[in-house]
Amino acid sequence: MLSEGKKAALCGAAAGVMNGLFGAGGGLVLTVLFRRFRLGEDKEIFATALGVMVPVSAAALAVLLPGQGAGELKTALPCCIGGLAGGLLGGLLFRRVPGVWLRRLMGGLILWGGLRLLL
Amino acid sequence: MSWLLSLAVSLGTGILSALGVGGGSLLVLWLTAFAGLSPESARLISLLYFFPTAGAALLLHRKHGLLKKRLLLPAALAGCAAALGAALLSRSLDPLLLRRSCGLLLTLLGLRELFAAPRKGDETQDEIKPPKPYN
Repeated sequence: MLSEGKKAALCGAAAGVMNGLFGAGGGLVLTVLFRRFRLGEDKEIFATALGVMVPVSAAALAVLLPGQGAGELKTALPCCIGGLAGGLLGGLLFRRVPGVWLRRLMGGLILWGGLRLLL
Repeated sequence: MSWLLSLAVSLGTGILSALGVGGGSLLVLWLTAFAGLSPESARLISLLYFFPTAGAALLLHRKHGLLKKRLLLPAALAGCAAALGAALLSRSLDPLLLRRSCGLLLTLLGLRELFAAPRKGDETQDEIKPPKPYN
């Protein structure tokens, strides 16, 4: 029987592979796996997964960023500003959104994204 | 691609990212499918966008006592190692193969999340509980 820490490490590794290969999606995989292993309640899982993905994304970026042109960085700037504002709003809304809505919304978005990439 | 449109789209995906439901993935899809960027550029921008987005949300999640410290460290350490290896590997993989593989995985995950039966006890998790002490 795996300890909670080892389960968390396995989940984190899967998320890291996802982010390293595709640049996104690691948080979704992590959330699904945390739930699969019952490592917490839904709101805690969503929030903790976000915390894990910060250093994981930094690790992926450390490999992918060097050698990139200024064009991508210029395009990233409005996305970063919008993301910051969205992150604050989402953080304020988080406790008010029922967990089951979060799961269904996440599932729908993942499915739509997957189908778009496949087709 | 206009500044204002990028700002508006990333505001929406930022909200979803903070809710933990995959805003970054949506941003990548928008950047490739509608803004016409290459998958490599979209991937890079998504990673850059993630830091201010997550940072803002995490301040509030921490304040509300929602972060589980004992999961953070092992998951983050293993995740960083895996991300480094996978990012290095991705440089030598066919982008179309990456795209299809990602699409298949996300489709299976999405189906599972949408149609999985609720767990016993899940119905109690929709209550808004008072914040727990930060641990």
